[in-house]
Amino acid sequence: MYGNETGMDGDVTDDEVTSPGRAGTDGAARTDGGTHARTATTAGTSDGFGEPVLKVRDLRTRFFTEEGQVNAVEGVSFDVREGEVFGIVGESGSGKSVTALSLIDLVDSPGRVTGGEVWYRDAELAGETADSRPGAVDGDYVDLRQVSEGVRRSLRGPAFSMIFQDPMTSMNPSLTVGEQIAEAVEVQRRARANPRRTRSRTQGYGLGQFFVDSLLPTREYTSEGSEARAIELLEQVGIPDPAERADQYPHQFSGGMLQRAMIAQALAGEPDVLVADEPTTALDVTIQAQILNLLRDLQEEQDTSVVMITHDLGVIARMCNRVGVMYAGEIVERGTLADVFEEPVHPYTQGLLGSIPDLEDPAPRLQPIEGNVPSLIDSEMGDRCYFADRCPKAMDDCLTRIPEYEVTGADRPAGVPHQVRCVLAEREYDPARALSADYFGPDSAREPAAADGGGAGEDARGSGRGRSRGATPDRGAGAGDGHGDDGEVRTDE
Amino acid sequence: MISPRTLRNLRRELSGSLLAKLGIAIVVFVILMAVFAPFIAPYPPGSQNLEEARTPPLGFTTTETREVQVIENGSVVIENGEIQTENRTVYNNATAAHPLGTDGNGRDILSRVIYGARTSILVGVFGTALAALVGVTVGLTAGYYRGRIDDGLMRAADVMLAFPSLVLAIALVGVWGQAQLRLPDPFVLLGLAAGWRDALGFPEGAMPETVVLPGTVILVVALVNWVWFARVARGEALSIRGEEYVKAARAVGASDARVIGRHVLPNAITPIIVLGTIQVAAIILLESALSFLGFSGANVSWGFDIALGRQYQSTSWWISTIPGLAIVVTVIGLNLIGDWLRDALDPGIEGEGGV
Amino acid sequence: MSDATDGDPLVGVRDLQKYYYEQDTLVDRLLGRERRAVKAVDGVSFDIQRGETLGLVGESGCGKSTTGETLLRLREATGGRVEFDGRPVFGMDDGELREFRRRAQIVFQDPYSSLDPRMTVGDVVTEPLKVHDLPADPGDASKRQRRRERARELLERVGLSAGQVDRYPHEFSGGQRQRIGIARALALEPEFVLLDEPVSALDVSVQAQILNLLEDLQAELGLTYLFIAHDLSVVRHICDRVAVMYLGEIVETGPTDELFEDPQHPYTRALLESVPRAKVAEHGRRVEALSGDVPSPRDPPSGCRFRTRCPQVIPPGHLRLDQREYRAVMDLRDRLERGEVSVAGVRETAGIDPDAGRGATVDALHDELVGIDLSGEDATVVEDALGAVVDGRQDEAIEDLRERYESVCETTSPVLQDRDRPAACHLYEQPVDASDAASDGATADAEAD
Repeated sequence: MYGNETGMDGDVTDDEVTSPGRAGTDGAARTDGGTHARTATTAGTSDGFGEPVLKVRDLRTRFFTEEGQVNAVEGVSFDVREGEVFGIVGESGSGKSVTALSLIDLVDSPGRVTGGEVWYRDAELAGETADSRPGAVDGDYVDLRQVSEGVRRSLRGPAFSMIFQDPMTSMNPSLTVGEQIAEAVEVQRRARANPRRTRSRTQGYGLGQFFVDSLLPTREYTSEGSEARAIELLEQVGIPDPAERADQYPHQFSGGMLQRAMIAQALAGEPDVLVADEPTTALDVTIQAQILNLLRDLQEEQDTSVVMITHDLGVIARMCNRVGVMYAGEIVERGTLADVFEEPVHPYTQGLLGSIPDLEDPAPRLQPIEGNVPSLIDSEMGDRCYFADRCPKAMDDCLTRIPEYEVTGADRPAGVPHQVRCVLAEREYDPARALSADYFGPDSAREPAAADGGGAGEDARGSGRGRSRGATPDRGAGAGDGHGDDGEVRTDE
Repeated sequence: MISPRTLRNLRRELSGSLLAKLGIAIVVFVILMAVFAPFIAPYPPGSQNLEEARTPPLGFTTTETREVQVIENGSVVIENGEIQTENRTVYNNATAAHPLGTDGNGRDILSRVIYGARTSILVGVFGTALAALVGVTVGLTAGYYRGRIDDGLMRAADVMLAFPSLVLAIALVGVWGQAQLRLPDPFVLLGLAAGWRDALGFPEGAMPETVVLPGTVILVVALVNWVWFARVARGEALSIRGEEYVKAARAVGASDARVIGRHVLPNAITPIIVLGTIQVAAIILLESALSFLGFSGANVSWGFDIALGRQYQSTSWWISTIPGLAIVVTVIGLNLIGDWLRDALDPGIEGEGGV
Repeated sequence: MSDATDGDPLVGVRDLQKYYYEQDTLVDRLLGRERRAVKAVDGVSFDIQRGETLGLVGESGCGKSTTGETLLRLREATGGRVEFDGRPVFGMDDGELREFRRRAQIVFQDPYSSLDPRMTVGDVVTEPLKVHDLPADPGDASKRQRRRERARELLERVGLSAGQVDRYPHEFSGGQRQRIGIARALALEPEFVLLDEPVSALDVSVQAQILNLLEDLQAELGLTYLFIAHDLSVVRHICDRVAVMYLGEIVETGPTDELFEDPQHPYTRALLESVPRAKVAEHGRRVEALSGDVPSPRDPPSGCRFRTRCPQVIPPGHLRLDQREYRAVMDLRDRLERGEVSVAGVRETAGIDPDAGRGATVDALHDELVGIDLSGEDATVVEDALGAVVDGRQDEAIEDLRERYESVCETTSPVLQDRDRPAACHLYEQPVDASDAASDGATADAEAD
């Protein structure tokens, strides 16, 4: 039914090698450095979500710094279907936030999106662009990286929208909350009214416009209708006394309230895709529960697709339908919630799950992943699996760049593959071929597994290998940790 | 205290900036000039030679009308019991003996500029050091303890700031007098300079045997300028005291003095250093102004020389201008160094942002 | 040695209070303004037995970090008593305080600011030794050498390599820095370590490393921990007993497993309910989130501080309301009493003309402030009250509502009972002489230093 040809939810990359189990295909790889998003020949998948509204293929983002080139995002591909919540989970330094910014083209210098395609489904836009840039169109999909910046900018609001981690710094402290939301509404209103105009022009609020507006006090950017709608939106996100609150400034809101306001602002344009970058990380757990409930409700109501980025696996479990696990700028495992949580194949995913204390069922000992997050500096990244230097199951096969494999299994929903960037998807772990403990240098913290404790179908948690001894060794010092911090700094009481 | 990373930053900024190199070159030059003055000044700065008065610098010629004694047959003409004089136009030619010319009393301007550097450097360095010592102590204390101590100290600082610095300086010098501190100049006393001078063919002359430290002026400029250091130090202390490593030091039982000295100060030092270089320039300017107005205390000072040359502005412009240029160039050099330091040491935080 | 016998707790805290005063400057006093107390910690009591790990949990603003720091005298308490090994901490003179500091240490939350960036790691770790002039007798080496040896030893003990003793903090990752912070805390060989959110700023995988390390050290060195955190999964993993804080007070304590599996206090229940589990089953779980925000510690609610958000607030016996209805009425009352209701604002939200009839306005108020339909006498009373509000007689409305709906939760502050699983909640039997809402606890043994 689905196969390699459709390349639909399968994330097709340059080096894709299909595992033998796949339904009768020849695993043809793309050779032209990019992939085409094929129009779907099947009408949806068995878990109920529609066509992809967003297809990201081989996205690459680099930062050009004094220390060297940092490969923040290294060939990331995923689909987001209509109405679903796709989660990207990773620790700091994994590149997840940069991925989000790259989607909406908000990456600032010294960073730049250097490769890949972002296919967005918009029949109208496709029609418009087909003449001028035929290479950027494929059926109803438009590759946003190939259209003009003006067009991309015009899509922010009506098509894409983003909410950030810390609402206090994401809102302008000198404008009232109502004004900011009304502004977002107004942009949307004008875009709707004059789509061609806003797409082709720079849509700039330029210096001239600024002077005019300052000199003529009666000319406000926002109309009364927008302001009324702003109040409506505030109510929709559960803020009591919305009319009064709209006239207040961000510092008069609590963290949770302000996050609601930010969500209101993000939804003002009725976007197709909402990108949420750690939306609840800075909030207390009871407030987080409120906000997640709100997001769920709104998302279901408006059938918005969401890309949810977080480091918290619990949030992923609560909110997401499908998940991508990121490490060192790549997606190392991708699948449904069940795939990732109950049958993880990649040792990093297994390690992550094993290192979380379980609220309901505490294990006597946690199983941390030894070592530190790798540097993303180009010259320091080896030509191998990036996780090999911390992987308990690294073998000779891991000393080359690893393509994505597909994991087959009996009870899986059709059309939603479970993909892993690890050879263990199709091979058993063989201690004979394992890399020695000091293969990556005497400071390496690896402890090669004695026997196969992993592979698909094994419960990663509480497997009680109990190999840890005294103080967990942590010799990877001096790497200076490249650019990643080891976690968000929480400003707590 | 100076970590390898800081050194790296400094070097990097320096290599990239022509201006920074220029600044360092200027300041080093001035310092060397001040230190080795007896070796390079052709004349003692105070030695007068009326006959060569108002000689222009090399490359210039001036004319002036002077009243000159009439001389016939080698002797003075006397009529009616008086020495006859007449107005004659005289050409003043530059000579190599005075490359930068002479002033109204025939003193060599080059030598005065060289010796003037001593005053500027001494007052600049000592004045700044004293201002920094007082100001940083006050500022750190105020910022660390906050509350009433902070209020009190900062109110005192505000009062100081309310006075215009120059007026205050003049008043203080007027009250305290121009106390001088005289330190022996080893180069002269040990005869080191003399041998060198002979070799170079400099004219005979007794170089000053002492280095004069204008004590009052130093005290005064420090008193006027400590407030800037206090402000900066206080701001830094306020932000550093909230850092966890300060809490950690207290948790271990460190006394307040130790915490301030070992933790707060080293982390506050960066903007203080930058301020320091700017302050040296400002103090040099202040000293020049004081000398210009006659409240010096030093024997040779650029500011004083500018004052001396005022009356000759229209005719012998170089008498004021050259010391003025010396001040300008020195101050520019210091400012360039200040810029370099600020660029290299800011933001001064030893971590990197995340990707 | 110690004044206490082995069965006594190592740390005993009684009625600890820490207030911050606002509007307390010279100018304010000249203007005759009253100073306001922000009650960050308001009457906290607990014991920590030797060798155990007590967890102190709560959300931001609950006062847990302040409790920890005040306990260690890093901040001066406003009231209460702390005993360490039988001796009162607040009255100590300088000598005793130094001794105390050797025995009670702290590990901080933020690995990026807890190490002085200008000092090498070796210096950071040995500074405690320098402050206390240890080692007292260096033998045939110099003190400096001994300290350097000790620094290397400490680094090894926390899992770093001794050769890094001369590096600077910025050369280490967050997890490694946290290890350095732990090494520093161990330098003086303390008995008690306050861990103030030691893993909150770290990634999950690194967090696990540090937690394992802390457990190992405790076993090896016989340490007693006070573990302050907001992440309940971590607390469950490492703590023997737990105390839950809300707005400056402890609302429940108990052994970890019991508390997590059978929480008594409604806040504890809500907390546990809100935590998302990393399991597939979480996806379908409907979470009843607590409504509202945490009230400000400047003006905490009377009686039980949790009552404004509590899903089980106790109505007066004679009423026939379910929890949903009662909560709606109580929210209305709360907003009225805080003066947060503006009739004009509600009109605007509802889009009603300012000159519209009273009835329409009352309905709008009802929709906005109450939200659900009531029945019977309740409907009448509430409607009358809203009418009074529209007419500008807010005080009357407040009074009428209070008369009918006043709860024990707002009149009386519940306390932790003297029993196995204490919970400061009126749902459980409270001692007869629980203090009134009107009187605050007297400040006892307040030692200003």
